[in-house]
Amino acid sequence: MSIYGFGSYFKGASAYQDIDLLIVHNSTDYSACLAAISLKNSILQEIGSAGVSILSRVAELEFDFIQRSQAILLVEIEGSYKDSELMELFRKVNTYKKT
Amino acid sequence: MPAHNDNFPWMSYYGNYNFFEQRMREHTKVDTIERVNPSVYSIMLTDGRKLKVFICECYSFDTAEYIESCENYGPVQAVVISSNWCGYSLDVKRHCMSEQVGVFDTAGFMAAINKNEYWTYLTEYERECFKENGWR
Repeated sequence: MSIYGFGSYFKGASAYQDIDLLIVHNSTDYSACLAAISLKNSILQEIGSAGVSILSRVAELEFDFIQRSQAILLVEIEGSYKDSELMELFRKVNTYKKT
Repeated sequence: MPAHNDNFPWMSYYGNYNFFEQRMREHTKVDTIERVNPSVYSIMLTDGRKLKVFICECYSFDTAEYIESCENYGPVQAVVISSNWCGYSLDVKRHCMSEQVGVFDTAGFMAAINKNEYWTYLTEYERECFKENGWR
């Protein structure tokens, strides 16, 4: 899975309503979707103001979401996500505006 | 313009689906419409069929969102993406069709319930895509 940031927060706006994140998962099978939903819920527990969208790789191409929203790749996860990868994501989100 | 609520159940900014309700009440194939919860309707058709419909303003409704909806509300017979700013993927359309679940915008749902196999209704664009990909 890949996690992207997009929207006002990642464009450096001084005012933003929420922190927009996109999870892109490689397969559309049931277990891959459940893993993405689980990751979304873990993100929401830590970042209450996050708005998390989920798309399969194929659907992302169909919507051209990353290009159109100028999304920024934050973290890539192989297989099941680990706490350390979540921490890395949260660190990147929290420090993004300072970079 | 993004969806007004980014997370489940992707509720309308106004907290209602009055436009959808009005269209349903005017539809000749709809007998009754009952709001089960803010995002789920029970629609009784004049031929006796009862459809549980999940409605949302999800910016890009895909298979994971469908699964998340069913995890929260149980099986549904149709999903309606309410806002013109929002859409659904061809993947979720196909996935749901294989489960005899329809995924539509409001206009598509209105057209679809005229058919017995409402979940098979495709827009012209979808028909083209299905044909190009040899899906039907």
